[in-house]
Amino acid sequence: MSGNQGPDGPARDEKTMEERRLNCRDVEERLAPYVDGEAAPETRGAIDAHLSACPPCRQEADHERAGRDLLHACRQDLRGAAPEALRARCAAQCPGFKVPASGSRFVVRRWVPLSVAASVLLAIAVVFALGINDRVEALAAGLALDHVKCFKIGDSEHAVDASTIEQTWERDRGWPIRVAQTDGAEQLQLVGVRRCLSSDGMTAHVMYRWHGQPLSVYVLPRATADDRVVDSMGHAEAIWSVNGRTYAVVADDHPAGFTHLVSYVKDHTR
Amino acid sequence: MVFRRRSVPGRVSEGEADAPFVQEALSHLDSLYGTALRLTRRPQDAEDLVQDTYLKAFRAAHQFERGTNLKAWLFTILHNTFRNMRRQDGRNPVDVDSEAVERAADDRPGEHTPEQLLIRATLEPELQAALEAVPDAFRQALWLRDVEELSYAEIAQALDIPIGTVMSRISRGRRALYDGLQARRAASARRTMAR
Repeated sequence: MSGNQGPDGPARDEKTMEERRLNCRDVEERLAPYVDGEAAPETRGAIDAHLSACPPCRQEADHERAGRDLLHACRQDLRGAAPEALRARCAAQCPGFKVPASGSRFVVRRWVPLSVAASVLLAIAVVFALGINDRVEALAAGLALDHVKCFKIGDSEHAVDASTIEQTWERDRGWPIRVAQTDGAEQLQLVGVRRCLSSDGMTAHVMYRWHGQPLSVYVLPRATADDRVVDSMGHAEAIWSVNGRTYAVVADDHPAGFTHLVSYVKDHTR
Repeated sequence: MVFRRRSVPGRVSEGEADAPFVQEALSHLDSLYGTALRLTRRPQDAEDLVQDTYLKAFRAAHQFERGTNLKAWLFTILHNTFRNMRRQDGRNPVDVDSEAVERAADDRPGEHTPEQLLIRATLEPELQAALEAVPDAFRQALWLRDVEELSYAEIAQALDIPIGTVMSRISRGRRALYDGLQARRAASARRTMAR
């Protein structure tokens, strides 16, 4: 990996240098599942420890994450669409199969909402203009984009039960999350959950309406940040880590009562 | 890829590719075509490759295990077919980097919305070029992971390489993409400053 100088700069002797090379090489071999959030907990902990002490490897991990995020953001556009005539020719490879009438065509994406198109451009801008020097800022920016995108695509009008979401998420994704329930006094309505793709494929995006406005709570399966409130692209965000999870609350603008709401979410996700 | 002919519960009967199987297989057409275009770089070759893939898939439908990932199975057939095509041409399957890139997708006017064109206009000069500059072996693994969302194990099967190699290629591919983009951004900024 890059300079391979290890945590403390140039090695003083050959043996130490070799050990550090092996350390860096070990990390490099495990970087893809680490960045994808699929590394085993003990491996993740070991890599975290190495990265915190080794700036070159940390930079490689950040670059890998940025490259992956960019591809994820542009995934649909990169795929493109097959020519219509090809569909019929492929169907004809199976004798006896008739292509359904055009009204019942299979999944073909024809239109990308402008908000999504704009968020793709923003994603590129975030990676390159904002830079990735501050990982919490970069995380906050990615979550703000996802918040805008997911609510533009659409959320449910109906309240959803928190325990159902918790059970479904753990069953489908393999790791548990705590979800704050709908609360009339807080004017908070739980409306759904999505797997967030733009910032990290493993992130849970729990969607709410708060005083009727979009509000997001994100849960990442790792601890990444100290308590922090940031302003990211016109959104108020509170980010904190507890019990090996990182939480982020994202609201439009800077609504009154945000701090109180964050306390409510913290109390109900412990 | 090894197909074993045996009759077990959960498999389609021999010689049979029922309508739900065909429909689900065809729902992955865009993904297969997009990948074929990246591999062959020529629309006609990509169409032939995809058509060939479906022909083999429908004939071998009885060997597909229900409950496993049909998309990943189709990708395995696609890549095997591509490797065979390359061998018949006397070319190394992954040694095609020096070939000029044909932007085939842009040769089909009227199929893109203004929003897609907006993205393309921005992506074309930099992301597309940077992606094309990633060595083929890395790009294939990267594409299957980050664009087509296959698992490491599924990619290992499709590309016929060990899973450790898959992870390593994905990792290197992502970093090569990022570094290539950075270099292009820097070069672009220098050109702007020089004006």
